[in-house]
Amino acid sequence: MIEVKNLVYRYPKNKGATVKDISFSIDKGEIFGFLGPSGAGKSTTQKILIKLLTNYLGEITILGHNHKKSDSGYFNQIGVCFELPNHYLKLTALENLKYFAEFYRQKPVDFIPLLERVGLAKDADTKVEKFSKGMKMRLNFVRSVMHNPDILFLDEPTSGMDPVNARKIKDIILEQKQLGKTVFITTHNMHDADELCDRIAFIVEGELKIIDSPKNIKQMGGKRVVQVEYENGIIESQEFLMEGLADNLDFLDILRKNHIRSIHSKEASLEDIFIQVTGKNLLSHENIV
Amino acid sequence: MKTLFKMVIWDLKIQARNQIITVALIIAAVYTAIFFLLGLRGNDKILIALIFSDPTFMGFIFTGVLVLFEKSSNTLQALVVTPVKSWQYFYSKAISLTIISLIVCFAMIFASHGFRFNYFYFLSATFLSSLLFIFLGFIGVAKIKTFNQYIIVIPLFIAPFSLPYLNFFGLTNSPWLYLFPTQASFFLFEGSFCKITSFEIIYSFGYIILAIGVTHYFANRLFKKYIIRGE
Repeated sequence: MIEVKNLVYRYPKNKGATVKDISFSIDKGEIFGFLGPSGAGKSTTQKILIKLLTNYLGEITILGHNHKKSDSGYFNQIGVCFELPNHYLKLTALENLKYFAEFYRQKPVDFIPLLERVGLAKDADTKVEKFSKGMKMRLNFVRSVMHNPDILFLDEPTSGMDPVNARKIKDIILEQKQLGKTVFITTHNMHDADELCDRIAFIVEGELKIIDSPKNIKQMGGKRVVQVEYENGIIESQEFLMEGLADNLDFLDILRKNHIRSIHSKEASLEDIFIQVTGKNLLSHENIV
Repeated sequence: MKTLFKMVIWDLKIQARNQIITVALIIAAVYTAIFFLLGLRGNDKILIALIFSDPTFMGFIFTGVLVLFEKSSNTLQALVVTPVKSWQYFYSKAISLTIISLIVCFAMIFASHGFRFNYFYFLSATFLSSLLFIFLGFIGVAKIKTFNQYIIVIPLFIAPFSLPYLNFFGLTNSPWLYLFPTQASFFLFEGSFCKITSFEIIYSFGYIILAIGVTHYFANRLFKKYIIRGE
């Protein structure tokens, strides 16, 4: 569906390249997460894929076509949800959708069910200038899916949303995958990436450090131990190796004689592995010392 | 063309919501009121001087304001990832602003002068001057980020294009001022009320169309470079 080979991009005013010889491919029906701190090159890569930036080196094939040669018809096949709201503030939510729908081959018959899905149906006739950031972001998202595109490019799709509305958006993203749509997500939200993505790429300073499933990535740095927290007059905790756990007498003894508060496997989080692999924190440019 | 037509309708709606049409009508009403209050009815020179400023200077300012509205709300970013083509966006703005300009200018002339004038020259003068200044507006606003910056840019464009006022009012008779396409605008507006020479007709149409072609070329380039790609 998306094939990127040896992609290099340098902004005209910069000395060095922002994207440095990266390669990856995304299959149809896959949710692919691009994770990295600000300035890592993830937005630049997305801008190239959505044709906002064109003077790149390398080869990109999307939907079987050479990306450099694809015309404006390409935009009928993609939906883009930007990180920041971008609506005509003096138009209502419904008018904004109707205006943008004019440009697409496949226009939605009815916009209200779409707005209903993200909790905006009752605000359909409200001017967008009166919306909160979260409402504008939900409208951004509706606009990106309303023309039934084959590929979705989502930049921080749950940014500025409360957990309930973020859940609605994540459910729709997973539905889109079920419908065979390909989803490219750029984010630094590890929880969203872990929950939604089939595969994740870590990008730092323009280079791809790792591409794998969240599960495999988390196993790379996790300790194969379980931590048991229990009450024995006082609250105590102890770690046990997973190997031979069923025959570990100390572990079984604790289970039999104490009130168990919790038992957790100590797998690493995506953030732990990100720091381990890249030496960077996702939310800043700073190196982790 | 169907998309362009729909975009023009939407642009007119957006301009109405942003009060641009209201402001344009208020300015026209103020001009007309000044014309009557100063007892200038019958003074075609003053009428032309006032009407000239509408498609030209107002067109330049409104173009900048519209683009800055879109820059500040990031809507351009959303538009460029749709199948809409940059020329459609570009012409939609030009056509919608020209329509407003035509309505305002005709309203002003009907109110101030009546219905006896050369409609062909007046329509040509308004339409061509409006297009020229809308494209100049795109050039002027391309690298600008805020309204405050644009206020500084406005006189830099308007002042040199105002110089043909000197020839128009007979203060000078300099052929050098023919280099400014607004000289051609003045001839066409004058043609609406009195006879103009064959040279003036050929020069006016030829030069203003040439100027529109040149400004369109640069406006389109700068629009793509600074407004769409944000370089």
